[in-house]
Amino acid sequence: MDIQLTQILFQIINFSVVLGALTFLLYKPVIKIFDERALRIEEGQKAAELAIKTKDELDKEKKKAENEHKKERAKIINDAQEEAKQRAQEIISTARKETKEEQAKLLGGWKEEKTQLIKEAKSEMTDAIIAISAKVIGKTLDTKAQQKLIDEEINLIIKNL
Amino acid sequence: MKSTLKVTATSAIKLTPKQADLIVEAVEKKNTLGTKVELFQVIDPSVIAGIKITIGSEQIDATTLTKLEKLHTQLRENI
Repeated sequence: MDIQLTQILFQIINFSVVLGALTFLLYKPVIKIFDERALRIEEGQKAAELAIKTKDELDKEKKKAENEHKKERAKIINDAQEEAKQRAQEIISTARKETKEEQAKLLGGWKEEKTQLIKEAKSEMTDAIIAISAKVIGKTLDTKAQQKLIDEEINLIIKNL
Repeated sequence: MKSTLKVTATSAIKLTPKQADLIVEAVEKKNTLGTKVELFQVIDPSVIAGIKITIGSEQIDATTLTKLEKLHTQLRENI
């Protein structure tokens, strides 16, 4: 058996060339592709993490804004209710005052009217009493009584003449 | 010629002669001028009772009607 060094050498060289060619043409590009892919994956992960972080922050901001909005809304509603209560109280108070004034006015007017009516009734009664008295006296006095009355009046007149 | 003093007596019924004479006498006594007094009688049932004597421009009203009217006025004033 003859180990031919040349052939071994040729094989070694051949193998080296193939290896070199493979490394240069295949291995390095593939590695490069893998590296790029890894890099992209890494970048994607970072972007996703950043997105998640940003989303969390945004959610926090959103919650915070919502809470503030709720507080503000509650305050506005509370203020409005307070104001409405106060306004209602004022309206009721004014209405009561006006009602009292109106009642007093009506009562005063009624009293005045009542006094006037009583006065008128008394006046009419007086008129009626006098008229009836005149009729009764006229009918009651007979000639004798009339003459007696005339005598009395004449005597009085004569005394004072 | 003596002038005559007119005296009017208003009453609801006719005066008796005695009453008429009393009036004339009383007026003549009061009248210092000595004028003749002539009495005129007026029958007015509206005076109700009593007598009203008018001597010239002077009037003495003692009728029931006038008394009632005075009473009426006083009552109205006091309402």
